[in-house]
Amino acid sequence: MNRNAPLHLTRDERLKAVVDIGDIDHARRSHLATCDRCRDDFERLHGRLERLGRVAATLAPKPKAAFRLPARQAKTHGFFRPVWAIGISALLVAIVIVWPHAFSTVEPQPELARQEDRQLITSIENLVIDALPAPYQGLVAWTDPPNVDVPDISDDVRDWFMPSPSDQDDDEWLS
Amino acid sequence: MNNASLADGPLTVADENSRIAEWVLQAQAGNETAFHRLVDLHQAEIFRMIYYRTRSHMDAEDLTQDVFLRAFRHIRRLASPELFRSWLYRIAINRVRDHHRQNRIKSFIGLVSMDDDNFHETEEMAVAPIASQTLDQQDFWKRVRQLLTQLSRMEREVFLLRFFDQLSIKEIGTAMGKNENTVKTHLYRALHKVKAADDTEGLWEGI
Repeated sequence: MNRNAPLHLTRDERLKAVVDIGDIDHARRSHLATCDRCRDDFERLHGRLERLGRVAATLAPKPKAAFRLPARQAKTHGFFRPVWAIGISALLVAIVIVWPHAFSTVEPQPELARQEDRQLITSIENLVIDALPAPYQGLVAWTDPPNVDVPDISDDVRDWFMPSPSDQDDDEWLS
Repeated sequence: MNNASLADGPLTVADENSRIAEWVLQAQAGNETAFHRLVDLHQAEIFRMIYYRTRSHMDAEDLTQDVFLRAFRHIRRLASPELFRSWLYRIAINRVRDHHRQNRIKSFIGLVSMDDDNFHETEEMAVAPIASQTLDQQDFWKRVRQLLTQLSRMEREVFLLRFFDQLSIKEIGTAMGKNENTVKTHLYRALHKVKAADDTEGLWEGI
């Protein structure tokens, strides 16, 4: 009977209590628990906010279909992700292009090598037999051949520079 | 009765949380069924959360899909399975933010029109499928809009997460990457403004 009249919660305290009831001090919490007026105010505010959320949830539409992982998505995680596949493919292509001989296991055959040697020697012998006439050998060597008459060379030069049809195969092989 | 319900409540929540954590661990190990269980549990709320912020059914569908795809891709990064819900909301918040950013750019170049702060009432909003028993739904969304336009961006996000999405202060903090005191401060300011708006304009009449 001789207790002081309790101070009701202020508006700020009620709002604090709505945010987190633990944020108001113990005495005010006790008051809130025992004072009908303060408790009604608090519960009305709290209730309205909760109802707001509930009504919104009721009025909001529902998703049309349940989400399911696409098959592609489900199978492309971890090591087999596309980024890995692309990277590895690019690396393999680079290796094949840059080092084509590094992985070659074909070794030259002895018989083939001998055949190639014979063809090379034959070509050299043909060059010796069909050697450039002496005046032109000097021209090619950038030396002045002494006491040599310079004939009409058009045909000889043509022969030298324009291979005969029979030589074409060797030239292709040599190239 | 109250004591009984209080005693039962946390136990149920704890059971639910441990079940979710178990599914998260299984999903992290590549179990798609476990991930689909998580989706079934959270899809509706994530969809609603996005819908509240975009007010478009189609955008909410697309963004929800994206949120769960991202969640599946990155679920191994989630160190604490018990934070799955907050983590999901964090992805959703970021996706909604990106969505608004893209719309702002489109708006800038004249592809779409937007109201201030990306908050606008769409036609879908006015013809949502379920009618309220207590309040005409069109009127309800108008009032919500009026309430939310009183708030700053942060206050609005915190207010929506707390009272529309029903997240706890701790979950909001985790979802927004803010500490709890910051969340409380923004929520307190939001409530102040909402209460003031109600006092002067009677925004909550009938709710």
